[in-house]
Amino acid sequence: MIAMKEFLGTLRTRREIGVLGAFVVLCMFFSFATNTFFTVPNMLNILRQVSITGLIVMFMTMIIISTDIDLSVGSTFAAVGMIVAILFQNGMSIWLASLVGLFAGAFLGLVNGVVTVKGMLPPFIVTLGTQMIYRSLALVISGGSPASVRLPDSFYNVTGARTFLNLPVPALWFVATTIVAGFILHKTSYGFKVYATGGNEEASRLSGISTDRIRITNFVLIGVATALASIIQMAYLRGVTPTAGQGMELTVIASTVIGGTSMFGGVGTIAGAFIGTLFMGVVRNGLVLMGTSAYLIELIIGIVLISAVWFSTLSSREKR
Amino acid sequence: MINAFDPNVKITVTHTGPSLFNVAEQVNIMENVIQSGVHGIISTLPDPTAFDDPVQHALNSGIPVIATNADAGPDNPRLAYVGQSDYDAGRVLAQTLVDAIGSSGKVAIGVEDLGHTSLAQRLRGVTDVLDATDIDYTVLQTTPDLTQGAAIFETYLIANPDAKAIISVDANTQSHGVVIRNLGLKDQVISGGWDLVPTTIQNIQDGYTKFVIDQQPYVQGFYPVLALYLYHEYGIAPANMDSGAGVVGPHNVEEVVSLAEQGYR
Repeated sequence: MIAMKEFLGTLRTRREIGVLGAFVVLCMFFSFATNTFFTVPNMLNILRQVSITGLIVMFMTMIIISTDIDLSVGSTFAAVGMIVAILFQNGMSIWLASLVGLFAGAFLGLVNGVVTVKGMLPPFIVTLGTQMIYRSLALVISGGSPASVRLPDSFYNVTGARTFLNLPVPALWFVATTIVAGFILHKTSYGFKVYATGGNEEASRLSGISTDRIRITNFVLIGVATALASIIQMAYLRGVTPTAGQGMELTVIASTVIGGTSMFGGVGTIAGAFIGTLFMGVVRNGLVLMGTSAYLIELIIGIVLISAVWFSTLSSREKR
Repeated sequence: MINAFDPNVKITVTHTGPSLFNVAEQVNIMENVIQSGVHGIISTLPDPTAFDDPVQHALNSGIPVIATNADAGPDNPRLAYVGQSDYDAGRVLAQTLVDAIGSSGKVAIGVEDLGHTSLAQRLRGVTDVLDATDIDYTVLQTTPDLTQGAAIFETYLIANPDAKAIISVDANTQSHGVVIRNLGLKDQVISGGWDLVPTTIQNIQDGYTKFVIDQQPYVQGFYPVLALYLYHEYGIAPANMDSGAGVVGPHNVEEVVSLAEQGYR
């Protein structure tokens, strides 16, 4: 009983609890408003739909905790997809092409990190610039045309397919990545340093933490996660367009912030990021199930976004 | 008798989709729509492969799917396609252009979304014809934003004062009028492109735009609904329909103006 009280006590002090409450309310609303929302196929649908952005949200959370931001993820997403698709079309094995894609993602992230940190430039500006540069890269290597890929089953089955119990494989990747990211952020000294960098970079540096290395590594990690997301999406859609991922950074950042990560750094959790990701997916899914007009959906999502963050900061303010 | 205008026919059409061109988001929405248990789906399929699985999923769930306006091609399992043959329409536009300016000179071709299947096919139709002439063309990415489109065409015309024409393979044709007017190039630079929207009709009437390919969007909306009704009510299989590549210009614009204002053309 005491343990239970302690557990509830910890929950109340956690920032993501506010958004979890909002999330539950939202799910209950859609469950009553439609008879299709609260069904197993729809839950799996939502999980599949959020899995692509979700992979990136986990590492955007780390980036934002350490007071950086990455606006180039949508363009990295397109560039990596194009690189992998074109290598594959030119005869390279899809496994090798994907490995090259992951390295390309790491490299693009490294560029973001090094230019931001070593150049002492605002990450907002650097990644705004690379957003354009990487988009152009995707357009140049594709010649502006979408690429279709007919992938071997052996690859499709572990990336884009549905598996036992009709579980979508992209969702399994998402859940696995969430666990890995949670481990990195909450159970390793690296994760501690990420919080320290965001909490007070100067103090962290003085206490011997190489904040530069932490920040650059964060950018590399999000580059790899974005590349993985791109490869999985390419497998699921059996193709990639050079315009893929446009506006993706905003969905990713919105999910991160809904999940309780503070834009001022130092605060945020992977559990919150997971809920934030599901939150965005549930809103979009539920509104379509309700037959909401396309012209109203963005308006409603905008209101929900602001409300969710307000709700979550309110609950964390109360605890003080 | 079949009468789709019968007041007893109750069809609810809900319009949904991503706010910007986004294939992945459109696939998500289609999956959600299938889940919501609609009786039919009418959708653009602007990617050659991405919609294969969702369309098959819809058909397996007993939901007929008709492609409209943009098609993924015959490999996609959709029951029918209603719309323009984009490649052929591109050729029609380019031939009309060659008839107007001759077989040499500089031309800019604007494209809103690089990577959109239909626009890519129109562009290929245009360039296949132009490649057989001495016309020197430049492809410009205008984005769907008209202000940006106008700025890009304006820059092109300033850089190429000897250009003979600007064309667009999409509704950014609307931006041509303001560019030609601002630069005082009326009757020197020809404008042509797609979609009979009010601004473009005005541009034709004012003498800025010389020809527009009409894809008859009313047909692309109306016929799939009718086809789904017939499918459900009488088991009649939906059939493909080519919504044409008619050329509208100063010679016939007045005929279509009032119909366009009512939303039929």
